[in-house]
Amino acid sequence: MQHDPKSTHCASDVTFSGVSRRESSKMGLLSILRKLKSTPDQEVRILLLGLDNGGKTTLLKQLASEDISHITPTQGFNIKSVQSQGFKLNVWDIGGQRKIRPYWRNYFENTDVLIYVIDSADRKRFEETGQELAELLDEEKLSGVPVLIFANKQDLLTAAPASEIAEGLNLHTIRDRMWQIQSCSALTGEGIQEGMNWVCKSVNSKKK
Amino acid sequence: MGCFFSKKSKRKSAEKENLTPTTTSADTAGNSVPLGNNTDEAPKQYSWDKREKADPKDYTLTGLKDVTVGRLPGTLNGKPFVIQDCVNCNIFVLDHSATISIDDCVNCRIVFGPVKGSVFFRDCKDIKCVVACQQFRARDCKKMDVFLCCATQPIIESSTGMKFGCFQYYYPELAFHFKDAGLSIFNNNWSNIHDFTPVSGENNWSLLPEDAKVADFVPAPDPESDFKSVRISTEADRSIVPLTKGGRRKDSEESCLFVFFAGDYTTANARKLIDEATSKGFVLVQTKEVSMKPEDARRVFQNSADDLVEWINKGPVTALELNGDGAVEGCKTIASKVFSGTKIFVSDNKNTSTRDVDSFFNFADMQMGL
Repeated sequence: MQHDPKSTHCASDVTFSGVSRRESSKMGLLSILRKLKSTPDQEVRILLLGLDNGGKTTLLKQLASEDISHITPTQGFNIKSVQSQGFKLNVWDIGGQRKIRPYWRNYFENTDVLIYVIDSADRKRFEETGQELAELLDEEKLSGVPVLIFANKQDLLTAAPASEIAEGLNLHTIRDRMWQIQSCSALTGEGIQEGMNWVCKSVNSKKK
Repeated sequence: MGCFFSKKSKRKSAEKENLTPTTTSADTAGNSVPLGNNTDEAPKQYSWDKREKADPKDYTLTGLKDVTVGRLPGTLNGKPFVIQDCVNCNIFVLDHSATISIDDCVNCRIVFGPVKGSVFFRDCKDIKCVVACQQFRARDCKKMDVFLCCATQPIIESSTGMKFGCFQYYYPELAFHFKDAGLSIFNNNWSNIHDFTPVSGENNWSLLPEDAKVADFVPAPDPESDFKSVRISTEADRSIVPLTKGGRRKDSEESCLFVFFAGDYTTANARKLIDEATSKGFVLVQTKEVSMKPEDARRVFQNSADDLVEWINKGPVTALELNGDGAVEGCKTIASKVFSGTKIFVSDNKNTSTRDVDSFFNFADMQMGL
Protein backbone atom coordinates (compact mmCIF):
# COMPACT_ATOMS: atom_id res chain seq x y z
CA MET A 1 0.00 0.00 0.00
CA GLN A 2 1.57 3.20 -1.15
CA HIS A 3 1.22 6.10 1.17
CA ASP A 4 2.55 9.56 0.62
CA PRO A 5 3.32 11.07 4.00
CA LYS A 6 3.44 14.48 2.43
CA SER A 7 -0.15 14.42 1.18
CA THR A 8 -2.40 16.68 3.14
CA HIS A 9 -5.49 15.28 4.74
CA CYS A 10 -7.01 18.35 6.15
CA ALA A 11 -10.45 19.82 6.62
CA SER A 12 -10.09 22.20 3.71
CA ASP A 13 -10.22 19.24 1.33
CA VAL A 14 -13.82 18.81 2.30
CA THR A 15 -15.23 22.15 1.18
CA PHE A 16 -15.22 22.91 -2.51
CA SER A 17 -16.82 26.10 -3.64
CA GLY A 18 -19.33 25.62 -6.41
CA VAL A 19 -19.95 21.99 -5.57
CA SER A 20 -23.38 20.78 -4.63
CA ARG A 21 -23.97 20.00 -0.97
CA ARG A 22 -24.61 16.36 -1.66
CA GLU A 23 -21.37 16.07 -3.59
CA SER A 24 -19.39 17.97 -1.00
CA SER A 25 -20.70 15.84 1.85
CA LYS A 26 -19.78 12.70 -0.13
CA MET A 27 -16.28 14.10 -0.60
CA GLY A 28 -16.10 14.94 3.10
CA LEU A 29 -16.94 11.34 3.97
CA LEU A 30 -14.22 10.09 1.64
CA SER A 31 -11.61 12.25 3.21
CA ILE A 32 -12.59 11.08 6.70
CA LEU A 33 -12.42 7.49 5.56
CA ARG A 34 -9.01 8.19 4.11
CA LYS A 35 -7.83 9.49 7.46
CA LEU A 36 -9.20 6.54 9.37
CA LYS A 37 -7.75 4.00 6.97
CA SER A 38 -4.14 4.93 7.52
CA THR A 39 -1.86 7.50 8.96
CA PRO A 40 1.37 8.50 7.26
CA ASP A 41 4.20 6.27 8.41
CA GLN A 42 6.69 8.02 10.58
CA GLU A 43 10.05 8.06 8.82
CA VAL A 44 13.05 7.07 10.87
CA ARG A 45 16.62 7.60 9.76
CA ILE A 46 18.92 4.81 10.91
CA LEU A 47 22.69 4.84 10.50
CA LEU A 48 24.36 1.42 10.38
CA LEU A 49 28.04 1.60 11.29
CA GLY A 50 30.84 -0.65 12.50
CA LEU A 51 34.19 -2.06 11.36
CA ASP A 52 34.53 -3.70 7.98
CA ASN A 53 33.49 -7.38 7.95
CA GLY A 54 31.14 -6.87 10.89
CA GLY A 55 27.99 -7.98 9.10
CA LYS A 56 26.29 -4.63 8.43
CA THR A 57 25.23 -5.40 4.88
CA THR A 58 24.08 -8.88 5.82
CA LEU A 59 21.97 -7.28 8.53
CA LEU A 60 20.57 -4.74 6.07
CA LYS A 61 19.57 -7.42 3.61
CA GLN A 62 18.11 -9.56 6.38
CA LEU A 63 15.95 -6.61 7.47
CA ALA A 64 14.73 -6.29 3.90
CA SER A 65 14.10 -10.06 3.70
CA GLU A 66 16.50 -10.41 0.80
CA ASP A 67 18.94 -13.16 -0.15
CA ILE A 68 22.03 -13.08 2.08
CA SER A 69 24.06 -15.87 0.55
CA HIS A 70 26.02 -13.64 -1.78
CA ILE A 71 27.18 -10.30 -0.34
CA THR A 72 30.03 -8.13 -1.62
CA PRO A 73 32.22 -6.01 0.69
CA THR A 74 30.64 -2.54 0.63
CA GLN A 75 32.68 0.02 -1.26
CA GLY A 76 30.46 3.05 -0.68
CA PHE A 77 27.15 2.59 1.03
CA ASN A 78 23.84 0.77 0.74
CA ILE A 79 20.47 2.17 1.61
CA LYS A 80 17.14 0.43 2.07
CA SER A 81 13.71 1.37 3.31
CA VAL A 82 11.96 -1.14 5.51
CA GLN A 83 8.49 -1.04 7.06
CA SER A 84 8.46 -2.02 10.70
CA GLN A 85 5.85 -1.54 13.41
CA GLY A 86 4.24 1.44 11.74
CA PHE A 87 7.56 3.05 10.97
CA LYS A 88 9.31 3.52 7.68
CA LEU A 89 12.94 2.82 8.50
CA ASN A 90 15.45 4.38 6.13
CA VAL A 91 18.60 2.42 6.84
CA TRP A 92 22.00 3.68 5.69
CA ASP A 93 24.70 0.99 5.66
CA ILE A 94 28.12 2.62 5.28
CA GLY A 95 31.36 0.82 4.38
CA GLY A 96 33.60 0.29 7.44
CA GLN A 97 37.15 -0.06 6.06
CA ARG A 98 39.64 2.00 8.04
CA LYS A 99 40.37 4.20 5.01
CA ILE A 100 36.75 5.26 4.54
CA ARG A 101 35.66 5.74 8.16
CA PRO A 102 36.39 9.49 7.88
CA TYR A 103 33.40 9.61 5.52
CA TRP A 104 31.03 8.35 8.21
CA ARG A 105 30.54 11.94 9.41
CA ASN A 106 28.92 12.84 6.09
CA TYR A 107 25.97 10.71 7.19
CA PHE A 108 25.52 11.82 10.83
CA GLU A 109 23.04 14.62 10.30
CA ASN A 110 19.43 13.90 11.24
CA THR A 111 20.15 10.37 12.39
CA ASP A 112 17.36 9.12 14.64
CA VAL A 113 19.05 5.92 15.80
CA LEU A 114 22.58 4.59 15.49
CA ILE A 115 23.03 0.86 15.04
CA TYR A 116 26.61 -0.25 15.68
CA VAL A 117 27.52 -3.75 14.52
CA ILE A 118 30.32 -5.76 16.12
CA ASP A 119 31.81 -9.05 14.93
CA SER A 120 31.68 -10.88 18.24
CA ALA A 121 34.14 -13.48 16.97
CA ASP A 122 36.84 -11.00 15.94
CA ARG A 123 38.56 -10.66 19.30
CA LYS A 124 41.68 -9.30 17.72
CA ARG A 125 39.79 -6.14 16.83
CA PHE A 126 37.73 -5.57 19.97
CA GLU A 127 39.97 -2.67 20.91
CA GLU A 128 39.67 -1.14 17.46
CA THR A 129 35.89 -1.38 17.41
CA GLY A 130 35.67 0.00 20.96
CA GLN A 131 37.75 2.94 19.83
CA GLU A 132 35.54 3.69 16.84
CA LEU A 133 32.39 3.44 18.96
CA ALA A 134 33.83 5.75 21.58
CA GLU A 135 34.62 8.35 18.94
CA LEU A 136 31.11 8.13 17.53
CA LEU A 137 29.57 8.69 20.95
CA ASP A 138 31.69 11.83 21.27
CA GLU A 139 30.42 13.30 18.03
CA GLU A 140 28.39 16.48 18.39
CA LYS A 141 26.13 15.61 15.47
CA LEU A 142 25.24 12.29 17.12
CA SER A 143 24.70 13.75 20.54
CA GLY A 144 21.82 12.10 22.38
CA VAL A 145 21.09 9.69 19.53
CA PRO A 146 20.03 6.28 20.91
CA VAL A 147 22.49 3.52 20.07
CA LEU A 148 21.80 -0.16 19.53
CA ILE A 149 24.89 -2.33 19.59
CA PHE A 150 24.42 -5.61 17.77
CA ALA A 151 26.83 -8.25 19.08
CA ASN A 152 26.71 -10.06 15.75
CA LYS A 153 27.95 -13.46 14.54
CA GLN A 154 26.75 -15.25 17.67
CA ASP A 155 26.18 -18.26 15.40
CA LEU A 156 29.99 -18.74 15.41
CA LEU A 157 31.23 -20.76 18.35
CA THR A 158 34.28 -18.52 18.59
CA ALA A 159 32.01 -15.56 19.40
CA ALA A 160 32.24 -13.73 22.72
CA PRO A 161 28.87 -13.34 24.49
CA ALA A 162 27.16 -9.92 24.52
CA SER A 163 27.78 -9.53 28.24
CA GLU A 164 31.53 -9.89 27.74
CA ILE A 165 31.48 -7.33 24.96
CA ALA A 166 29.31 -4.95 27.02
CA GLU A 167 31.79 -5.19 29.84
CA GLY A 168 34.81 -4.72 27.61
CA LEU A 169 33.28 -1.67 25.99
CA ASN A 170 32.21 -0.17 29.33
CA LEU A 171 28.74 0.42 27.96
CA HIS A 172 27.37 0.97 31.44
CA THR A 173 29.26 4.27 31.54
CA ILE A 174 27.12 5.69 28.74
CA ARG A 175 24.97 8.30 30.45
CA ASP A 176 23.97 10.74 27.76
CA ARG A 177 21.65 8.61 25.64
CA MET A 178 19.59 5.43 25.50
CA TRP A 179 21.62 2.35 24.65
CA GLN A 180 21.15 -1.38 24.30
CA ILE A 181 23.36 -4.31 23.37
CA GLN A 182 21.67 -7.20 21.60
CA SER A 183 23.14 -10.57 20.62
CA CYS A 184 22.30 -11.59 17.13
CA SER A 185 23.18 -13.53 14.06
CA ALA A 186 22.49 -11.54 10.90
CA LEU A 187 22.99 -14.81 9.05
CA THR A 188 20.28 -16.80 10.82
CA GLY A 189 18.16 -13.78 11.76
CA GLU A 190 18.08 -14.56 15.46
CA GLY A 191 18.05 -11.52 17.74
CA ILE A 192 17.38 -9.06 14.92
CA GLN A 193 13.71 -8.55 15.70
CA GLU A 194 14.43 -7.89 19.37
CA GLY A 195 17.00 -5.28 18.40
CA MET A 196 14.64 -3.59 15.99
CA ASN A 197 11.87 -3.61 18.62
CA TRP A 198 14.19 -1.62 20.85
CA VAL A 199 14.98 0.74 17.96
CA CYS A 200 11.30 1.47 17.41
CA LYS A 201 10.71 1.91 21.13
CA SER A 202 13.61 4.33 21.41
CA VAL A 203 12.29 6.37 18.51
CA ASN A 204 8.91 6.65 20.21
CA SER A 205 10.54 7.80 23.44
CA LYS A 206 12.66 10.35 21.70
CA LYS A 207 9.97 11.88 19.55
CA LYS A 208 7.50 12.44 22.39
CA MET B 1 40.10 -7.88 29.67
CA GLY B 2 40.44 -4.18 30.33
CA CYS B 3 38.93 -1.13 28.80
CA PHE B 4 38.52 -1.16 25.01
CA PHE B 5 37.86 2.53 24.79
CA SER B 6 40.67 4.96 24.09
CA LYS B 7 42.14 6.52 27.19
CA LYS B 8 41.15 9.97 26.04
CA SER B 9 37.45 9.21 25.67
CA LYS B 10 35.25 11.43 27.75
CA ARG B 11 31.67 10.84 28.75
CA LYS B 12 29.31 13.75 28.38
CA SER B 13 27.59 14.46 31.65
CA ALA B 14 23.93 13.53 31.90
CA GLU B 15 22.40 16.96 31.67
CA LYS B 16 19.66 16.31 29.18
CA GLU B 17 17.99 13.21 30.49
CA ASN B 18 18.16 11.47 33.77
CA LEU B 19 18.22 7.92 32.53
CA THR B 20 17.34 5.45 35.20
CA PRO B 21 19.72 2.57 34.73
CA THR B 22 16.87 0.09 34.58
CA THR B 23 18.70 -2.70 32.99
CA THR B 24 18.49 -6.23 31.91
CA SER B 25 21.43 -8.19 33.06
CA ALA B 26 23.10 -11.41 32.26
CA ASP B 27 25.58 -13.46 34.15
CA THR B 28 29.11 -13.66 33.08
CA ALA B 29 31.34 -15.53 35.48
CA GLY B 30 28.81 -14.84 38.20
CA ASN B 31 28.67 -11.06 37.74
CA SER B 32 25.70 -9.03 36.62
CA VAL B 33 26.28 -6.99 33.47
CA PRO B 34 23.82 -4.37 32.26
CA LEU B 35 22.82 -4.87 28.64
CA GLY B 36 20.90 -1.63 28.27
CA ASN B 37 19.53 1.41 30.03
CA ASN B 38 16.10 1.67 28.54
CA THR B 39 14.41 -1.65 28.73
CA ASP B 40 12.93 -3.93 31.30
CA GLU B 41 12.76 -7.06 29.23
CA ALA B 42 14.68 -10.13 30.24
CA PRO B 43 17.15 -11.35 27.62
CA LYS B 44 15.84 -14.17 25.44
CA GLN B 45 17.45 -17.55 25.01
CA TYR B 46 18.87 -18.12 21.57
CA SER B 47 20.30 -21.15 19.81
CA TRP B 48 23.80 -20.15 20.88
CA ASP B 49 22.74 -20.12 24.53
CA LYS B 50 21.42 -23.65 24.26
CA ARG B 51 24.14 -25.34 22.24
CA GLU B 52 27.02 -27.28 23.68
CA LYS B 53 29.78 -24.95 24.76
CA ALA B 54 32.90 -25.28 22.64
CA ASP B 55 36.41 -24.07 23.34
CA PRO B 56 37.50 -21.44 20.81
CA LYS B 57 41.06 -22.72 21.30
CA ASP B 58 40.11 -25.87 19.41
CA TYR B 59 39.48 -23.68 16.39
CA THR B 60 42.60 -21.57 16.68
CA LEU B 61 46.20 -22.02 15.56
CA THR B 62 48.47 -19.69 17.50
CA GLY B 63 52.18 -19.07 17.60
CA LEU B 64 53.33 -22.06 15.57
CA LYS B 65 56.68 -22.27 13.85
CA ASP B 66 58.18 -24.53 11.19
CA VAL B 67 55.34 -27.06 11.27
CA THR B 68 52.73 -28.57 8.97
CA VAL B 69 49.28 -28.23 10.54
CA GLY B 70 45.61 -27.76 9.73
CA ARG B 71 42.44 -29.80 9.52
CA LEU B 72 41.64 -32.97 7.64
CA PRO B 73 38.39 -33.34 5.68
CA GLY B 74 35.44 -33.81 8.01
CA THR B 75 37.16 -32.40 11.09
CA LEU B 76 36.06 -28.77 10.84
CA ASN B 77 32.68 -29.15 9.19
CA GLY B 78 31.59 -25.56 8.72
CA LYS B 79 33.00 -24.12 11.94
CA PRO B 80 35.00 -20.87 12.06
CA PHE B 81 38.80 -20.93 12.17
CA VAL B 82 41.38 -18.50 13.52
CA ILE B 83 45.09 -18.42 12.67
CA GLN B 84 47.53 -16.05 14.34
CA ASP B 85 51.26 -15.45 14.83
CA CYS B 86 52.47 -18.38 12.76
CA VAL B 87 55.87 -18.38 11.12
CA ASN B 88 57.19 -20.63 8.37
CA CYS B 89 54.25 -23.00 8.56
CA ASN B 90 52.37 -25.10 6.03
CA ILE B 91 48.70 -24.78 6.89
CA PHE B 92 46.10 -27.02 5.27
CA VAL B 93 42.48 -26.43 6.20
CA LEU B 94 41.00 -29.13 3.98
CA ASP B 95 37.37 -28.76 4.96
CA HIS B 96 34.58 -26.23 4.54
CA SER B 97 34.40 -23.51 7.18
CA ALA B 98 32.23 -20.58 8.23
CA THR B 99 34.92 -17.88 8.17
CA ILE B 100 38.69 -17.69 8.63
CA SER B 101 40.82 -14.83 9.99
CA ILE B 102 44.60 -14.84 9.70
CA ASP B 103 46.64 -12.34 11.74
CA ASP B 104 50.36 -11.59 11.96
CA CYS B 105 51.61 -14.57 9.99
CA VAL B 106 54.89 -14.63 8.13
CA ASN B 107 56.29 -16.90 5.42
CA CYS B 108 53.49 -19.44 5.38
CA ARG B 109 52.00 -21.62 2.73
CA ILE B 110 48.27 -22.00 3.18
CA VAL B 111 45.35 -23.87 1.63
CA PHE B 112 41.76 -23.10 2.61
CA GLY B 113 38.90 -25.32 1.54
CA PRO B 114 35.66 -23.47 0.73
CA VAL B 115 34.77 -20.75 3.23
CA LYS B 116 31.08 -19.86 3.42
CA GLY B 117 31.75 -16.30 4.57
CA SER B 118 34.88 -14.19 4.56
CA VAL B 119 38.61 -14.85 4.60
CA PHE B 120 40.40 -11.92 6.22
CA PHE B 121 44.22 -11.59 6.20
CA ARG B 122 45.66 -8.86 8.44
CA ASP B 123 49.27 -7.85 9.05
CA CYS B 124 50.62 -10.83 7.13
CA LYS B 125 53.76 -11.07 5.06
CA ASP B 126 55.23 -13.48 2.51
CA ILE B 127 52.17 -15.68 2.20
CA LYS B 128 51.45 -18.11 -0.60
CA CYS B 129 47.95 -19.47 -0.52
CA VAL B 130 45.10 -21.25 -2.26
CA VAL B 131 41.73 -19.91 -1.08
CA ALA B 132 38.04 -20.44 -1.91
CA CYS B 133 35.58 -18.10 -0.22
CA GLN B 134 32.60 -15.80 -0.53
CA GLN B 135 34.60 -12.70 0.42
CA PHE B 136 38.34 -12.12 0.30
CA ARG B 137 39.74 -9.29 2.43
CA ALA B 138 43.30 -8.23 3.17
CA ARG B 139 44.55 -5.29 5.28
CA ASP B 140 48.13 -4.22 6.06
CA CYS B 141 49.55 -7.19 4.17
CA LYS B 142 52.73 -7.43 2.16
CA LYS B 143 53.78 -9.86 -0.55
CA MET B 144 51.04 -12.38 -0.95
CA ASP B 145 50.49 -14.80 -3.81
CA VAL B 146 46.87 -15.90 -3.84
CA PHE B 147 45.31 -18.60 -6.02
CA LEU B 148 41.74 -17.55 -5.51
CA CYS B 149 38.15 -18.59 -6.02
CA CYS B 150 36.01 -15.74 -4.70
CA ALA B 151 32.27 -15.29 -5.17
CA THR B 152 32.43 -11.52 -4.82
CA GLN B 153 34.93 -8.78 -5.63
CA PRO B 154 38.11 -9.30 -3.55
CA ILE B 155 39.28 -6.23 -1.62
CA ILE B 156 42.63 -5.11 -0.29
CA GLU B 157 43.52 -2.17 1.97
CA SER B 158 46.93 -0.72 2.86
CA SER B 159 48.59 -3.72 1.26
CA THR B 160 51.33 -4.10 -1.34
CA GLY B 161 52.84 -6.79 -3.50
CA MET B 162 49.55 -8.69 -3.71
CA LYS B 163 49.37 -11.11 -6.63
CA PHE B 164 46.38 -13.10 -7.75
CA GLY B 165 45.79 -16.15 -9.90
CA CYS B 166 42.93 -18.54 -10.50
CA PHE B 167 42.21 -21.19 -7.88
CA GLN B 168 43.59 -24.57 -8.87
CA TYR B 169 43.21 -27.43 -6.44
CA TYR B 170 41.79 -30.88 -6.06
CA TYR B 171 41.19 -33.32 -3.25
CA PRO B 172 38.40 -35.91 -3.30
CA GLU B 173 35.99 -34.14 -0.92
CA LEU B 174 36.55 -30.66 -2.36
CA ALA B 175 33.53 -30.66 -4.67
CA PHE B 176 31.27 -31.55 -1.74
CA HIS B 177 32.88 -28.86 0.39
CA PHE B 178 31.99 -26.27 -2.22
CA LYS B 179 28.34 -27.34 -1.96
CA ASP B 180 28.48 -27.39 1.83
CA ALA B 181 29.81 -23.84 1.83
CA GLY B 182 27.15 -22.69 -0.63
CA LEU B 183 29.77 -21.66 -3.18
CA SER B 184 29.58 -22.22 -6.92
CA ILE B 185 32.72 -23.33 -8.80
CA PHE B 186 31.46 -21.15 -11.65
CA ASN B 187 31.38 -17.88 -9.69
CA ASN B 188 34.96 -16.80 -9.43
CA ASN B 189 36.00 -13.16 -9.38
CA TRP B 190 39.67 -13.80 -8.85
CA SER B 191 41.13 -11.17 -11.16
CA ASN B 192 39.27 -7.93 -10.50
CA ILE B 193 40.51 -6.62 -7.14
CA HIS B 194 39.25 -3.48 -5.44
CA ASP B 195 41.97 -1.51 -3.68
CA PHE B 196 40.75 0.84 -0.94
CA THR B 197 44.14 2.56 -0.79
CA PRO B 198 45.44 2.93 -4.34
CA VAL B 199 48.69 4.81 -4.74
CA SER B 200 49.08 6.88 -7.88
CA GLY B 201 51.90 5.68 -10.05
CA GLU B 202 52.04 2.31 -8.34
CA ASN B 203 50.11 -0.95 -8.29
CA ASN B 204 49.47 -2.61 -4.98
CA TRP B 205 48.24 -5.69 -6.78
CA SER B 206 48.79 -7.57 -10.02
CA LEU B 207 48.02 -10.89 -11.65
CA LEU B 208 50.29 -13.91 -11.36
CA PRO B 209 51.82 -15.18 -14.61
CA GLU B 210 49.34 -17.26 -16.53
CA ASP B 211 51.56 -20.32 -16.38
CA ALA B 212 52.19 -20.06 -12.65
CA LYS B 213 52.03 -23.52 -11.09
CA VAL B 214 50.42 -23.89 -7.68
CA ALA B 215 52.89 -26.63 -6.80
CA ASP B 216 55.73 -24.09 -7.00
CA PHE B 217 53.99 -21.83 -4.51
CA VAL B 218 52.17 -24.17 -2.18
CA PRO B 219 53.69 -27.65 -2.35
CA ALA B 220 51.60 -30.65 -1.38
CA PRO B 221 51.95 -31.69 2.25
CA ASP B 222 54.97 -33.72 3.25
CA PRO B 223 54.31 -37.46 2.73
CA GLU B 224 55.18 -38.00 6.40
CA SER B 225 52.68 -35.43 7.66
CA ASP B 226 49.16 -35.92 9.02
CA PHE B 227 47.89 -35.09 5.56
CA LYS B 228 49.46 -38.06 3.78
CA SER B 229 46.06 -39.73 3.48
CA VAL B 230 44.58 -36.91 1.40
CA ARG B 231 44.98 -37.36 -2.35
CA ILE B 232 45.73 -33.79 -3.31
CA SER B 233 46.40 -32.64 -6.85
CA THR B 234 47.45 -29.20 -8.03
CA GLU B 235 47.34 -30.09 -11.72
CA ALA B 236 45.40 -27.50 -13.72
CA ASP B 237 43.29 -30.08 -15.52
CA ARG B 238 42.17 -31.70 -12.27
CA SER B 239 41.09 -28.47 -10.62
CA ILE B 240 37.57 -28.47 -9.19
CA VAL B 241 37.30 -24.81 -10.13
CA PRO B 242 37.63 -24.31 -13.91
CA LEU B 243 40.63 -22.23 -14.89
CA THR B 244 39.55 -18.90 -16.28
CA LYS B 245 41.50 -16.21 -18.02
CA GLY B 246 39.63 -13.59 -16.03
CA GLY B 247 40.78 -10.04 -16.63
CA ARG B 248 43.88 -10.98 -18.61
CA ARG B 249 44.00 -9.66 -22.12
CA LYS B 250 42.19 -11.91 -24.54
CA ASP B 251 44.07 -13.43 -27.49
CA SER B 252 41.25 -13.01 -29.99
CA GLU B 253 38.47 -10.55 -30.72
CA GLU B 254 36.04 -13.42 -31.09
CA SER B 255 34.19 -14.72 -28.07
CA CYS B 256 31.24 -17.07 -27.85
CA LEU B 257 28.53 -17.30 -25.18
CA PHE B 258 27.50 -20.82 -24.19
CA VAL B 259 24.70 -21.32 -21.67
CA PHE B 260 23.48 -24.48 -19.94
CA PHE B 261 20.15 -24.53 -18.12
CA ALA B 262 19.50 -26.02 -14.71
CA GLY B 263 19.51 -29.80 -14.56
CA ASP B 264 21.16 -32.81 -12.96
CA TYR B 265 24.06 -32.88 -15.36
CA THR B 266 24.77 -29.18 -15.73
CA THR B 267 28.13 -29.24 -13.99
CA ALA B 268 29.28 -32.33 -15.86
CA ASN B 269 28.12 -30.83 -19.14
CA ALA B 270 29.94 -27.58 -18.46
CA ARG B 271 33.15 -29.48 -17.74
CA LYS B 272 32.70 -31.49 -20.91
CA LEU B 273 32.31 -28.30 -22.91
CA ILE B 274 35.43 -26.83 -21.35
CA ASP B 275 37.41 -29.98 -22.20
CA GLU B 276 36.16 -30.05 -25.78
CA ALA B 277 36.70 -26.33 -26.31
CA THR B 278 40.16 -26.16 -24.78
CA SER B 279 41.30 -29.20 -26.71
CA LYS B 280 40.39 -27.24 -29.86
CA GLY B 281 42.58 -24.39 -28.64
CA PHE B 282 39.85 -22.08 -27.34
CA VAL B 283 40.25 -20.31 -24.02
CA LEU B 284 37.78 -20.14 -21.14
CA VAL B 285 37.53 -16.48 -20.16
CA GLN B 286 34.85 -16.50 -17.48
CA THR B 287 31.92 -18.44 -16.09
CA LYS B 288 28.83 -17.56 -14.06
CA GLU B 289 26.07 -19.47 -12.33
CA VAL B 290 23.14 -17.14 -11.83
CA SER B 291 19.34 -17.06 -11.65
CA MET B 292 17.49 -15.28 -14.41
CA LYS B 293 13.98 -13.87 -14.65
CA PRO B 294 11.99 -13.90 -17.91
CA GLU B 295 12.71 -10.22 -18.55
CA ASP B 296 16.45 -10.90 -18.14
CA ALA B 297 16.22 -13.71 -20.68
CA ARG B 298 14.50 -11.45 -23.19
CA ARG B 299 17.19 -8.82 -22.81
CA VAL B 300 20.11 -11.25 -23.00
CA PHE B 301 18.93 -13.89 -25.44
CA GLN B 302 16.77 -11.61 -27.57
CA ASN B 303 15.37 -13.62 -30.47
CA SER B 304 15.90 -16.97 -28.80
CA ALA B 305 14.29 -15.85 -25.55
CA ASP B 306 10.75 -17.19 -25.96
CA ASP B 307 12.02 -20.70 -26.33
CA LEU B 308 14.17 -20.45 -23.23
CA VAL B 309 11.91 -18.75 -20.69
CA GLU B 310 10.48 -21.98 -19.32
CA TRP B 311 14.03 -23.31 -18.86
CA ILE B 312 15.29 -20.42 -16.80
CA ASN B 313 12.52 -21.03 -14.31
CA LYS B 314 13.95 -24.43 -13.48
CA GLY B 315 16.91 -22.92 -11.67
CA PRO B 316 20.11 -20.93 -12.17
CA VAL B 317 21.81 -21.04 -15.55
CA THR B 318 25.51 -21.76 -16.05
CA ALA B 319 27.18 -19.55 -18.64
CA LEU B 320 30.65 -19.70 -20.14
CA GLU B 321 32.61 -17.34 -22.38
CA LEU B 322 34.98 -19.05 -24.79
CA ASN B 323 37.50 -17.01 -26.71
CA GLY B 324 39.54 -17.63 -29.83
CA ASP B 325 39.41 -17.23 -33.60
CA GLY B 326 36.59 -19.48 -34.80
CA ALA B 327 35.16 -19.88 -31.29
CA VAL B 328 31.55 -19.46 -32.40
CA GLU B 329 31.72 -22.05 -35.15
CA GLY B 330 33.73 -24.29 -32.87
CA CYS B 331 31.14 -24.07 -30.10
CA LYS B 332 28.25 -24.61 -32.48
CA THR B 333 29.95 -27.75 -33.75
CA ILE B 334 30.48 -29.00 -30.20
CA ALA B 335 26.86 -28.18 -29.40
CA SER B 336 25.52 -30.29 -32.25
CA LYS B 337 27.99 -33.18 -31.79
CA VAL B 338 28.06 -33.45 -28.01
CA PHE B 339 24.98 -31.66 -26.67
CA SER B 340 22.31 -32.37 -29.28
CA GLY B 341 19.91 -33.64 -26.61
CA THR B 342 20.59 -30.87 -24.12
CA LYS B 343 18.86 -27.50 -23.85
CA ILE B 344 21.50 -24.87 -24.45
CA PHE B 345 22.08 -21.42 -25.85
CA VAL B 346 25.05 -20.79 -28.15
CA SER B 347 25.95 -17.58 -29.90
CA ASP B 348 24.77 -17.72 -33.45
CA ASN B 349 27.46 -15.83 -35.29
CA LYS B 350 30.64 -13.94 -34.59
CA ASN B 351 29.10 -10.57 -35.47
CA THR B 352 26.62 -10.75 -32.62
CA SER B 353 28.48 -13.00 -30.20
CA THR B 354 30.35 -10.15 -28.48
CA ARG B 355 27.01 -8.54 -27.73
CA ASP B 356 25.74 -11.86 -26.32
CA VAL B 357 28.73 -12.09 -24.01
CA ASP B 358 28.53 -8.48 -22.86
CA SER B 359 24.77 -8.63 -22.31
CA PHE B 360 24.96 -11.74 -20.26
CA PHE B 361 27.93 -10.93 -18.06
CA ASN B 362 26.87 -7.33 -17.47
CA PHE B 363 23.50 -8.65 -16.34
CA ALA B 364 25.19 -11.27 -14.12
CA ASP B 365 27.48 -8.68 -12.52
CA MET B 366 24.53 -6.42 -11.74
CA GLN B 367 22.53 -9.31 -10.37
CA MET B 368 25.36 -10.37 -8.09
CA GLY B 369 25.98 -6.91 -6.75
CA LEU B 370 29.33 -6.17 -8.28
